[in-house]
Parts: sequence; C-alpha cells; structure tokens
Amino acid sequence: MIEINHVTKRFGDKVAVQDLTTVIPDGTITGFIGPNGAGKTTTINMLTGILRPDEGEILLDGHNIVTDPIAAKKCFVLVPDSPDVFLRLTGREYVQFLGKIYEVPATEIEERMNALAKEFEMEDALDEQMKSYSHGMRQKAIIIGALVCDPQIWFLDEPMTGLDPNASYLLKEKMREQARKGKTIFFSTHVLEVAEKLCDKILLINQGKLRYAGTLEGLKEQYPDSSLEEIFIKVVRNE
Amino acid sequence: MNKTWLLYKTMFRDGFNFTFKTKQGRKSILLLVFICLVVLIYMGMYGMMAWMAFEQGQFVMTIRSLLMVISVLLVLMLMASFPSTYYFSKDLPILLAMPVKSREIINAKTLMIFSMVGPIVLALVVTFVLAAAKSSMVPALQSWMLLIYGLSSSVATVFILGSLIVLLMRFIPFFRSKDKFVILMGLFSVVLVIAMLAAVYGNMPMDAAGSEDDFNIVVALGGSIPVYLFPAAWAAFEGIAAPSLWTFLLNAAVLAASYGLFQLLVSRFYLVAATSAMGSAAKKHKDKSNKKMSGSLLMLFSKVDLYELIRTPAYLSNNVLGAFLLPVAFAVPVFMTLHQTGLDSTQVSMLVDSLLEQYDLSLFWVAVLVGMAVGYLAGGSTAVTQTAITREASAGVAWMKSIPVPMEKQLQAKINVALLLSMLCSLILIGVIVYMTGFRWTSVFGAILGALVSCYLSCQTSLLVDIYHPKLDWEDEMSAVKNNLNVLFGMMVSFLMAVVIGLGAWGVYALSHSLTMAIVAVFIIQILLVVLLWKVPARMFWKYLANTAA
Repeated sequence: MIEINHVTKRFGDKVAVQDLTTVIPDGTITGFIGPNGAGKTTTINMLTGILRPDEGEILLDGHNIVTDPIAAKKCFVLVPDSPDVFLRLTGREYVQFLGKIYEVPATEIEERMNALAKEFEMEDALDEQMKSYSHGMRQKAIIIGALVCDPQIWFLDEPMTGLDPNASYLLKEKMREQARKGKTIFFSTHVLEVAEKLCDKILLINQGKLRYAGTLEGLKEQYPDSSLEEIFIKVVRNE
Repeated sequence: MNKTWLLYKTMFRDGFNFTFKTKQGRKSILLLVFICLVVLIYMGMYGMMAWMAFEQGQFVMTIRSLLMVISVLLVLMLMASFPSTYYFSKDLPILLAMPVKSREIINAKTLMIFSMVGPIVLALVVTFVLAAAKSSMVPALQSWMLLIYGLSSSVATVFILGSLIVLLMRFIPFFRSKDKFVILMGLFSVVLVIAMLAAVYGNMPMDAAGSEDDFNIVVALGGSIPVYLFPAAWAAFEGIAAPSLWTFLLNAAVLAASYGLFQLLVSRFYLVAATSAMGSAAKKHKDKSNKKMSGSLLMLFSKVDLYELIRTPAYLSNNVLGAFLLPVAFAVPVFMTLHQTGLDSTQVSMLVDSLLEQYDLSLFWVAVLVGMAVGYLAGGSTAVTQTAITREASAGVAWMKSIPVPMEKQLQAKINVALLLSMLCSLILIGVIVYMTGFRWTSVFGAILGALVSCYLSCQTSLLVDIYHPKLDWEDEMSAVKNNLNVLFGMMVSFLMAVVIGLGAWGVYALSHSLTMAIVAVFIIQILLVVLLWKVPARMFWKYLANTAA
C-alpha cells in the first residue's frame, strides 16, 4: 500500500507538488496522469526517495521513505523513464546486480531472468552490453530486472515509451498479473488509452495539485459521454 | 546572414557552462577563476625563469624549445579535442537538418577548437613575450616577432594538424569508431610521454646548473624534438631568431597555406567521414559469465564501478591508463639517469644509509614518508573519485537514491575502486624506488603502509570535491571526464591538505626536534583525518544532491 499524506515539494519559489494526499491500496493498478510539468515525475521521485518532500510523509507498506528509507526501498522497484543507466553492463549482469540488491536468491534470479528474457524476446541480447541496445531493448532489460526482483510495489515512469507493440502488450499483461497477485502498480503515462484500459484507479494532477483521485467510472460519471482524453483536456483547461 | 557566430556562441554556451544565472554556472565560473589564478602563478614562475635564461643569453635556444613544446602540446590537445568536436559530437545530425550551411558549421566548430586550445597557448606565448620584453638582452623587435609568430605558428599548427586528422578520418575507417579512437589516444599518450621523457633525459646535460627543475626539462625537451616535424614552428623560429622580410613572407605563406589546405580538405572530406563516424558502440561479442555478479554488496558495487571504468573507453584512457602515466613519468627519468651516471642500487643504498645515520632517522619511517608522498601523487593522478559522481550523470544519481542500499556503502565502493587503482600506481612507483635503493623488507612495508593511508585520504577528499560540484549533464562519457575542473580541483585540495599536514608536522618537529617524530605525526594526522571524514561523503551527498533527479 502507498500512503501519501499532505506532501509538498518546492524548488525555490516554485511549488512543484502541493498538499498531495491519497492512498493507493494493494492489488491495484493506478495511473498517474497530467500534462507536461504537472508534477508527475516529481511525485514519483518523492515516492522513490530520489527527492525528499518538504512537507508531509510518504509510507510504503508502512515504512516512511524519509525516516526508514532502506526498509521502504526494499518494498519497491522503479522503472524510470530514462533507461540509460549501467550501459556498460550486459543485460544479464544488470539483472543479476539488481537481483542481488533486492536479495533474490541466485537460482531464482537465473530462472526468472531466463523465463522473462524468452517472453520479451531478449534471449540473444542478454549477454551484450546495454550500450548496444535500442531504447526499447534497454527499457525491456530494466523491466526484466524489476520483475526478477518481484517487488511489492512497482513504480513505472512513462513505461510504454520506446516499446514495440508486442512488448507493450506483454508489459500490460505483466502489470495485470502483478496486480492480481496483490501487488501495487503505480505508473505515470501520457497514453490515456492505456490508462483507460488498464487502471483501477486514476490520479489526475495539474500544476502540482491533485485534481482527481478515484476510479475511471467515477470520473466518467462527472463527465458523462466523454472519453478520458476529453475529460483530461476539460479538467486541464479549466485550471 | 552568416550564422557561424550564432552557432559558435551556442556551442560555447552548451560546452562551457559559464553563466551567473544558475548555481552550477556560478560554480563553474568560480572554478575557472581558481584555475586561472593557479595558471597565473605557474606562468609567473616560468616567466621569471625565462627572463633569467634570456639574461644569460639563451634567447634562441629557449624560444626554440618554447615553440616545440607548444607544438607537442597542440598535438596532444588536438588529438583529444578535434575528433570529439568534429566527428563524435551528437549535435552534427541536428545541425545538418537545419537551414545552416555546412561551411558555417565547420567554421563554428573550428572556433570551438580555438576556444579550447587558445587560452593555454596564449598564456605561454604572452608569458615568454613579457619575459623577453623585460629582458635587456632581447631587442624589442624580437619580442614583437615572438608575439606575432608565436601566435601565428600556433594557429598554423592547428590547421596543419587538423588537416592530418581530417585525412585520417576520411581514409582510415578504423579511426571513425569513437571507442577505438579513444583507446588509441590513451595508448598514444602513454607512448608519447615515454618517448618525450626518454628524449629529455637522454639529452639532459648532467652538469646542468639548477639540475632537473621544470624549466630545464622544458628546454631539454624542446631541444630534443626535430624542428622539421613542425614546419610552422620552424618558420616562426626563423622569423624570431633572424627577423627579416623573407621570414615574414615565409610565416605568412605557412599560415595562408595551412589555412587554405585545411579549408580545402574539410570542405571535401569532413562531412563524408563525419556522417559515417560511429558514436560510442559497445562490443557485440557475447560475455557469458554467471560468476561475475557474486560476493557481498560492497564487493558487487565495487565490481560494477570497475567494469564501468574499464569497459568505457573514455574512462579507461583518462582514469585508468592516465593513472599509469605517473609511474611511467617517474620511472623513465630514473632509469635514464641511473644509466647515464653509472650508479647502481648498492651505491645508492649506501648513500641512503649514511644519510639516515647522519640525520638520526629510521629507515621504516622514512619509507613511510616516501610512501605517503607517492600515495598523494597516485591518488591525485587517477582522477577516479574526482569523477565518481559525475560519471553517474543525473540518471545514475537518481538510481543511487532509489535503491535499498545505504549511501555509505555505495560511496565506499567508489573509494575502494579508486584506492585499488591508486595503490597499483603506487606499487609501481615504490617498485622503481626499491629498484634504485635495493630491496629491504622494512622499507617496502613502510612505503606500502604510507601509500595506503595517503591514497585513501586523497581518494576520500577527491570524492568530496565531486559530491560538492558534480558535472551531471553530459552528452557522452568523454565530456564527463575531459575538461572536468573537479580533477584539477581535487589535486589542489590534495595539495592544500599536504601543506596543512606538513605545517602540523613542522609544529611537531619544532617541539620535539626529531624528524622521526614529525613523520610519525604526519602519519597519525592522516589516519585521524581518514576516520574523521569517514561518514562525511554520505552526509555531503544528501546535503548537496538531495534535489538531483534524472
């Protein structure tokens, strides 16, 4: 479970995120949507310990990300929007490295990695340096690493970027599968169709403030006969 | 409208973050000012020595050496900067898609090259011109000629070397791979240093007054380089030594011809080669090993950091190979000098023993002192922790903060890797000293112990510098480590620390009148500093990089 209580983040005079409060229960897929510069990445950065909130608290499975960071970080894996880390490691080395960080037994790392590499069609590329991968392949390697670690919470920042349709479909299936297992999936996206089809809960943020937090059905009740895209534009333009 | 100046201004702003508008920009300006002050001090010293040489009637030899040294410096600087600016820069595809003439792009990049190499050359030439102007032995005309031809020959050399590189890149596809080029550059630098040192110490007169100080080394180096290798420098030398209309025309012709040749070759061959030049691409060969990612977390993080260093050509050549330049630079003169003087280790050992007896010093502690000096030099030369955070870039720093591993452990891993490389470098240096003085267990153990402590302290403090001022927004790995002021700043901090520690030791000596006690004090102060600084990197990380995200 993710609990966000009155979280605020400022950069100088600019308030990037203001008084954000919400709870994301286990077993759900939550889509975090908003226009560019709305505060999505800043929020995810605070949830994952990359940035510290100026006010409020964030609890991941009961652990405070600021005061109990190691325990909190063991609960999640982040799939960042930019997969350009450890490019000189092979895909295999990266996944093994991540698996060790999250204390996954070596045999399980190998089993899961090989199975996922087959699913994501990365078997041949796994032993090449990630520098030689395309953006989409790097994204797949990062996703495989995250799945091998089998975290309770999965943060994904714009995960569909650069993925081919097959991989994109596979990722969505994996997200549903993890949610069915009782895991918490939290992802930001610009692709509203994906959010519409995948999410149990929608968080809509604009100018640092949470404009809506609830189910897609609830949102559509407020804006009948509108697609999510149309609702999004209406909400954003009304600011 | 000619867009050369617009392109150049943009490239300059992109390449050198000198602006008062951002915090990072202000830090860069501050560091630049600091570097300029240090350069000013060194130029002042060299200027004084040059003036003394001129007063002794050594104008011609000194100027010849100056021109040759500038030429060699230009070779090194251009080999490093020309390909990365012209061929491996990521802006070229974007620029070519714009309504900008290719000539404007080329001219803007040429101006960038001059921005990089110009200040150093200008500083050297102006220093010597001022020394010549101040000297009563040098006619005013020759001082003016030194200024004009010193600068014009440097410009001509840039064009000539640039032309050679354009030809290399066009006709030898091997060089168009950035990774291969970078590794080649690293090896070339090591070979060049060995060759230069062998030439200097092979030519250094053993009875030279003032012995082997920097200035005499520069003069010997310049004197040992065949002048025909650098036609522009040769023409300038002729023009300065014996100014006449003929030498003026010669220099003008060399400048015009080099410029013309460069423009011709660049217009014909540059774009063809540049558009096919590969960026940094990793090896495609399979690298299966299940055992690599094993061990404790600290070991694992150290391994990953080491792999990144070794597998990235830019880091390999700058941080790893660069570290071994120091022992090479030390070993070659030692071997050459011993060979020339005919001394052997037994004789040196006896000399050392008599000195120890005379000053009532213990061999062990003297070895510790030598080890500490070696450790400081080695720690500063690897530039591993000076770029530890920089090499992560913003994405890497964000990743470091998001994983369930204490920051202390992650930073400790970086220090460990730097320590490993610095100690390797130190061991080579200690090996050379042992070769000179004869093998004794006491001295070897003492030297290693001393090196270990100061290597660690040097790596620790260098990491603090990079945490305080990392360069996180870089396009490619080369730009992360090249022209990184943190490397120089880290060396300065190490130097300042050595001064402070030295002052402490002097205080102990003043009280105890014992050199051995002073050395022991230095050793203990360093250990105390290591302990005091133990948790500081992690604290500083969270203080200065708390708001850094990808």
